[in-house]
Amino acid sequence: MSKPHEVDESALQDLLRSTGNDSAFVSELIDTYLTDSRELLVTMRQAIRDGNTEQLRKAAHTLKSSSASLGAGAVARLCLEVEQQARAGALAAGAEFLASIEAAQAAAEHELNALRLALP
Amino acid sequence: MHEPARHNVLFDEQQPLRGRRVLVVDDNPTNRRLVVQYARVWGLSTRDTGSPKQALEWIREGQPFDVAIVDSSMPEMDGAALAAAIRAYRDTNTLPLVMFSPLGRREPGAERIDFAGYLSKPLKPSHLLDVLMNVLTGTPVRPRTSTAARQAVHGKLAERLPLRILLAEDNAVNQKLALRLLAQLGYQADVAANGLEAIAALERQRYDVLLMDVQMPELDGLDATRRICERWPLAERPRIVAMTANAMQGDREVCLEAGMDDYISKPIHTAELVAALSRSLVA
Repeated sequence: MSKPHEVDESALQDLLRSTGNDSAFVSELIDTYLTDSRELLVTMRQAIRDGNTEQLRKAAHTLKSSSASLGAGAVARLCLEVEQQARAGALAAGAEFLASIEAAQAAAEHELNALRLALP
Repeated sequence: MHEPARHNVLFDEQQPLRGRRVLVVDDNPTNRRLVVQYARVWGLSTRDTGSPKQALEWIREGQPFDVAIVDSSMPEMDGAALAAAIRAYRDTNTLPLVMFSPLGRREPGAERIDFAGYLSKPLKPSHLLDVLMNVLTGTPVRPRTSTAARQAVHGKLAERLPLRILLAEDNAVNQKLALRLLAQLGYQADVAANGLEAIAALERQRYDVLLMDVQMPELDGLDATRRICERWPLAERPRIVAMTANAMQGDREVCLEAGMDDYISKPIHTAELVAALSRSLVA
């Protein structure tokens, strides 16, 4: 039985096509995404600890946006929830919710690395 | 998941028109620019002037044109008189003429002239395309381009539609992606990482289009837009295109209220980007 996919492979295919099959560029974009997303998760965890909803909202927004560009749908959806809650001034998501984002991001990272190997 | 942007054939290069030469004579700079810009997007080469005398001079010199579009009413010489003067040098087979008039039909005094087509004001781009197709190829039916052909023509968008573009985006992933998609279309965009940097860039030079992320540090896209609109009049500021995630309802309205001219959703897709850049034509 296969796990549900975290990354929408067709989004990566679209990226490849729209860059004229520049797989080196797509691979580099994945690198940028992975580095940034790890940093953003740290920022989000810190923001929750500090009770800083504005910082949480911004970091969640950025991670949502980059994740959507790379087809990491689950991470994008979870971040959207955090962003909306933080927009309303709530920190309800809390550390537990963040753990689910971290898990989704780790799964996306694994899949992106696998998909990268399959790039033409 | 993501609805592909509707494809508009008016923003494509039109193979049968490619490289054909059009002369545009109209004293109204806005109308002239509109005709010229569309013609270039479709792949025609253009020469334009507000002066009928200048146009006649070019024709006398023997400059090659495949079609001429003449405005019906110009202070120096009206369209019918210009057309008659052109006929002294070039006949209907060597230079078909198109009359551009408020009603899009034969004007009094122009009965003797065999116009190949008529354009009405305000100009409808689809009508212009039909008339050019009809006059230059004899087929008024617009060909639809295949997906593959579309990809190919996008590569030349910057050649047909040269624009100075400023990208204001702080998110590294989306910044890289947007720059790469623009490069694919032939555009070398400048980058600002926030609203303040965008304003500083506008102080240094003029841009035709500002692709603006809504959420940025220091100064967000909405506040930056308000400041830009306060500072520069419409004619002197770039067309501002918001880039924002479509998940947030009401974002579009907020962007337009702040003074942005257009809106594309993130993640950015080439077709939507092309459509937004092409819309800067009619702005």
